[in-house]
Amino acid sequence: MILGFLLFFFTQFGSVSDVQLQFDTANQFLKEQDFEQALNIYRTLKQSDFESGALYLNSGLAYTQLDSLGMAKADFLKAQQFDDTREQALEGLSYVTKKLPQKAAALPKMPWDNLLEWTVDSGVVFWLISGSVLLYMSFMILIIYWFKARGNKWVLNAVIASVILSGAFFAAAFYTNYVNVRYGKAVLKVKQSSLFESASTASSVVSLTFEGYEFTVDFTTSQGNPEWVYVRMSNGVFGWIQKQDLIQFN
Amino acid sequence: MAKIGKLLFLFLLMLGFEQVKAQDVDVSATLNETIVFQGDRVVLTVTVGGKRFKNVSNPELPELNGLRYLTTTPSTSTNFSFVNGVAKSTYSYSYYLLTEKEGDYFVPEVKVEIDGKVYKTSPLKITVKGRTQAQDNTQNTPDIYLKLEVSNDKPFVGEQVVAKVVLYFKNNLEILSYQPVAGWKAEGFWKEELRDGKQPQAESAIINGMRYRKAELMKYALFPSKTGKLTISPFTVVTTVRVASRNRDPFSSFFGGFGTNQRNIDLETEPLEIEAQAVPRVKDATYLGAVGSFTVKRAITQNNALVGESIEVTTTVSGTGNIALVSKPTYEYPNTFEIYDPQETSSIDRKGDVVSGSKNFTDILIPRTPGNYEIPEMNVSYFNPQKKRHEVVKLPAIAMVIKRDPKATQLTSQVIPFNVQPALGLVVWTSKIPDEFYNEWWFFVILGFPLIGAVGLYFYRGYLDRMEDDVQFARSNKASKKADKRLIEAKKVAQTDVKAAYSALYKALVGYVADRAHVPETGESDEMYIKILHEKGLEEESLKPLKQLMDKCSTIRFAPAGTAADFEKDADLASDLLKKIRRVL
Repeated sequence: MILGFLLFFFTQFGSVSDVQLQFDTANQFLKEQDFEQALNIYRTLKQSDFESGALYLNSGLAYTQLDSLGMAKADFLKAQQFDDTREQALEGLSYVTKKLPQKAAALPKMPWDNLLEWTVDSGVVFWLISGSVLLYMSFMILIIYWFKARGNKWVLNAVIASVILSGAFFAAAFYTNYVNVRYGKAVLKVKQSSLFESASTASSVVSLTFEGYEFTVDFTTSQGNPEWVYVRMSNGVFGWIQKQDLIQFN
Repeated sequence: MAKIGKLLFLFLLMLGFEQVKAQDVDVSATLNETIVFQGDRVVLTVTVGGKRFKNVSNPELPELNGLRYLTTTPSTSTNFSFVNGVAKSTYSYSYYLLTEKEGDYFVPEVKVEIDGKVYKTSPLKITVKGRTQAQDNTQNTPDIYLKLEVSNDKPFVGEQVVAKVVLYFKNNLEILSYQPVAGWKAEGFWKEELRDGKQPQAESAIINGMRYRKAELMKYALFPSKTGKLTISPFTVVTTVRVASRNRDPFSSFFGGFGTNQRNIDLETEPLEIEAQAVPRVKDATYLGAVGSFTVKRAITQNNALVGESIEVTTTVSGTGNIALVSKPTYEYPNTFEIYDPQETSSIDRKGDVVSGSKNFTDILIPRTPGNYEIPEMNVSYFNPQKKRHEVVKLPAIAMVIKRDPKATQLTSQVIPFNVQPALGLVVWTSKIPDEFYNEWWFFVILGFPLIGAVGLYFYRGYLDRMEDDVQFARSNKASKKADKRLIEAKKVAQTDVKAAYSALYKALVGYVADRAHVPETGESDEMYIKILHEKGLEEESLKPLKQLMDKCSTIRFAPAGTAADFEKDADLASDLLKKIRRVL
């Protein structure tokens, strides 16, 4: 077991097969309830160039067994982004949330919040491809209008509508890319941490935060403060928190 | 034996009665002023009061230093009162003293013998000042002013500073009433008004050599909330004063009677600046933000509880200082406990010169899993400004035993369903390196193609529209092709009909010029076409053969037809000339 573990550290992840091999090793540790060993490998796998929902799900399960609920929640949140592990990750999230002693209040979502969230969740690629298809479609309809259906208002309206729609799709792609670059997610991994008014422990405490609390990280504002991040809590409160207390992911 | 006991009891009872009698007598001495000028008279009053006494001797006057008795015969007064069924007698003996020299002096204890027992008063301090300075300052000193006096101008953040609003006024004024103006804001401080329930009392004071009377109107406890220079804004009081019509009356009370020459005066203190110092950091303890002298205790309602029962952990901070600003310590509770919003209660006492009280923080915990738990010990600290250091209080660890409630329904975390199984075997691995094709150059080419194509097609559509609508534009654009076509046709016809070929050759030349110059193809003379080409800049060496060729084409219809070979030469000439004409038209 130890030999296998040492071998792991000296093995480069040259290919998917290497990653799969080490993942299987970690899963064996997990089955043997050696959660620390399993997590050591899962953590290293997370640093590789590959990822999978199963990796985050299993890592989340190991953290749950060790009662490290903040880390477990972060892993389940990541695992739910993959189709093949979404259902199990949601179940894990539900369990962890019930076990966390401190519950974070959340602002009710407005309709436009849901719309913006859906826009970002759809992804840049979706909006770009949709916009491109519509753009080409409007070009084709324009050719038909100019050379075959001159004066036909329905065809002209179709051109205008498809151009406007493609423009909206490109705007959505731009917005999504902006949000992805500027903002990220984070979960508090320590039992408790303070949210400060500025990036200093000498500043006023805005709020206390507890393990498992979710944050939206503002990378742009956080620039220039390597040990601090500027975050927004789920209840709408902004402040600075020490980077080491968080686990961040996109 | 019983008889002896009764006698002893009676003796003790009598002794106790004599003690009560002795305690019922009160002897005191007072001076009407304690800070006076040289040559002033002050009144020493010895008061004997009590419920029952028979013989009271005259006070035995002590020797004085710096003072002199004007007369050793006192003016006496007697007062009897009957309050709540108890009679009380008060004898007053007043002596006039003259101040002789500058300095601080004491009136030693005065002895009075009452019913054979000697009573002594406490010594009294008196300050005598020279008159020279007073006469110099008479013109420059105000008759009445308000001053804010603070106990400490360099406090620590959170340390109490007593700020007194003191009214100074000269003896010729009587203060009838005063009213503080509401809305005083001590920005940068937490403030509490201190009340002792007493009316302000005026006392004498010498300020810059001038005699004043001063009265403390109000008193506040201020606690700086931040470091640095803080300015206490002016405090405003509206006073009603009356200029006394009678001479200086040392016995006048602070609040005078009614008068006609009274008026209202708005008085305002000067802004006062103090510098708040930062509280030093403390190591290995949690600073509660408390500054003063406190006791900190932590208690739990029950160490043995059932799952689901609420447990209260109460932290009590009590003492003197900034009690309202004390913050709640945060404890490490077991993860399996549900923690609800803490409750906070406080009681503050504002009597006297210090703010005191207590503050309670109560955490409500509900254990969800049975087991043995512990709230770890913790060091908390408060800052003691007198000692200028943190006082660390160790809160001992609290052990708890949580047992399952056999009667309760299963609601603990152990019954939260959790059937998630790990994902084993082969899984799908995706690359983390984002496939951001939209950052590639070719994506923008593909994206730009319909836009560029639309612009091109727009101009092409415009060209077609003009060809349809603008005849001259269409003739001009078609002229070259038309000329080439006619030239080819001429060459074809030349094989069978040379005359017809020359006719076609003529049309090709003239037609091109007419189409490009926007003139009719027929009805115009050859000279006019030559003139147009000349104006357009066609050189003479081209114009001449063109003229000759056009003449030949026009006249050959009336002359014998030439050979096809001759026509071939003329056709080549015509083709060559057309190239030159295209350059100028």
